[in-house]
Amino acid sequence: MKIDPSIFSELKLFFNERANPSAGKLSVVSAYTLSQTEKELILVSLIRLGYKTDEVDYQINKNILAGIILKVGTTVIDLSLRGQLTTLKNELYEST
Amino acid sequence: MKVLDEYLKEAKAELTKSEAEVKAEEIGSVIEVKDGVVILKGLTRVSYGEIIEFTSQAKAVVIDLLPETVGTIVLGDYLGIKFGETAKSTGMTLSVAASSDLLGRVVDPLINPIDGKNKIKPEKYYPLEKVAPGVVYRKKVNVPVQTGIKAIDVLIPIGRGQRELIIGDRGTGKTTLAIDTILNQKNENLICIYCAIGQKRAKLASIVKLLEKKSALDYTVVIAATASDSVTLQYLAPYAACAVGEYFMDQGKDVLVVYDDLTKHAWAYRQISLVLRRPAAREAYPGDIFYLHSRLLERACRMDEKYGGGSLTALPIIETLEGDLSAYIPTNVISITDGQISLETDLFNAGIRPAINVGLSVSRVGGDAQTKAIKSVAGKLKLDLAQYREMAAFSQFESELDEETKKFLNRGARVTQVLKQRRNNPYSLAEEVVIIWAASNGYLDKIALDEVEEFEAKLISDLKLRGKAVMDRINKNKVLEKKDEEELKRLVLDNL
Repeated sequence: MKIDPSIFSELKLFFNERANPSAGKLSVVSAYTLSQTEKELILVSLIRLGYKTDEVDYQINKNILAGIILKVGTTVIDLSLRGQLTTLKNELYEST
Repeated sequence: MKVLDEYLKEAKAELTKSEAEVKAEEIGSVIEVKDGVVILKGLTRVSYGEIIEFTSQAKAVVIDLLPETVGTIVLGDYLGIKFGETAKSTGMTLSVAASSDLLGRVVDPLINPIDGKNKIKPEKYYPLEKVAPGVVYRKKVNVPVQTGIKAIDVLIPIGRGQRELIIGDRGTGKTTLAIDTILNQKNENLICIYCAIGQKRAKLASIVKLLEKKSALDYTVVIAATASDSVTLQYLAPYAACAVGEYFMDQGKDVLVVYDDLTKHAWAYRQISLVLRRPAAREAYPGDIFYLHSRLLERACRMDEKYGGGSLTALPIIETLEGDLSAYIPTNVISITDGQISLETDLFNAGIRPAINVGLSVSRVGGDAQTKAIKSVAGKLKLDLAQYREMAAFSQFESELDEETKKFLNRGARVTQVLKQRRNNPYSLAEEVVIIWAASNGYLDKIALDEVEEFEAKLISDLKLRGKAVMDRINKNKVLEKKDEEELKRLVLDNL
């Protein structure tokens, strides 16, 4: 079957996504590079919470200020300082 | 400084109340935005009816769960939402913040005030969507809703817990009927909720002003999603009104909810369904348009004391086109409700206001919802009116008719005249009883037709002066006794 070259690369990405959905992949976002001990602590907690920890993707995002954000597929556990501050702001706004 | 202290105190209380907990949230990103509907990718574990929040603080409700996408309707303004914007689920199902502070307020379906006064502090959260109470929880409907409108209380009585549809063309007095009912509930222990769906803001403003002027706002809640509000709010408004009604009903109180009107509600739902590309059926309405109204109206009930007592009476309003009661939406709602009050343009133009077509109107609860006083005088009335309508065609040949027929026509015309009523002028129970008693016992037969109204007014004002004892007795005991009848006979003959 002849595939138009202009869509070939996009089609390849699409099929890759379908075959190996990134739904299972766990990613940890932190504000700075984590040391080995910190990574191990996180892994222990993750195993306790019931997440598969064979493939963990570590990312850095300075915007979260501190703490970590865990992402599994579309589920997000926000333990960052930025998240706490936003919640605080909303609660103050709502209560007054 | 005092205000700042207040704020700090409240903030502190709020913050110490909530504990920090590890919460997993679902996130998704926007892939389509169209006319109040936002389609998102992701959000794999979100449930139907859950609220999701965008980064721009806008909120939306999930109403479509498809294999790859989630369809939501935005609660409020959708203009700021961009492609790729992240949204996260809040884990909360769409609920309404109910509180007793709602009485006297005008709010939108999300309980944001639109009357310019301060925010309402929520007491309890009531879900918008709820399964109607089962058979075991209900009690028979036998307590009346006194509408103050003679024609309704006598011929098409409404009970607490009933659903009575008000149906008619535009400009026949549907809203007036509902508002007059609300105005008459001042001392009747009935909380009223007026739900405006897709109406003009000017009309809503004049209704609120009228309620305020007649001190009816103290026991009324107005929930409004006007014509310029988003389609989502128009779709949710009746459910919000029902949820607020259930809040009061669960406290054992009696509630009356007016849905004005459900035709526009059906249009709003049709718009949402078509934008979501759901299959269009008859008249482009979606397939579940019946369920849209049935699940709303089935929540009206009278609860047994064991489960809290209280009742929720529903007065839905439907607008017909060209008097066609057999159109799609009217027939749907007629089959759901426990009766209808049918208003006609011809009667309205002929001066019969309220323009109720007694032949087509019915109350399936009927006499069970009438007080003994009214039942004793209303008995023959419906039959008399039916016979009068049949013979009315002959009235053109009046000179050639026999005495019996002439008497019927005479009596019928006077009864019809007596059932007319001015707007925003509700009658008390005793006043209704007296007038109908006078008419059905023939005391008006000798008065000229155009003097009947004058006589009625004279009689009522005389009763307020000389007959106060009788009126109070009837109003309190709700029965018409022999001695009351004697006294009434005396007063009526005096005024003739």
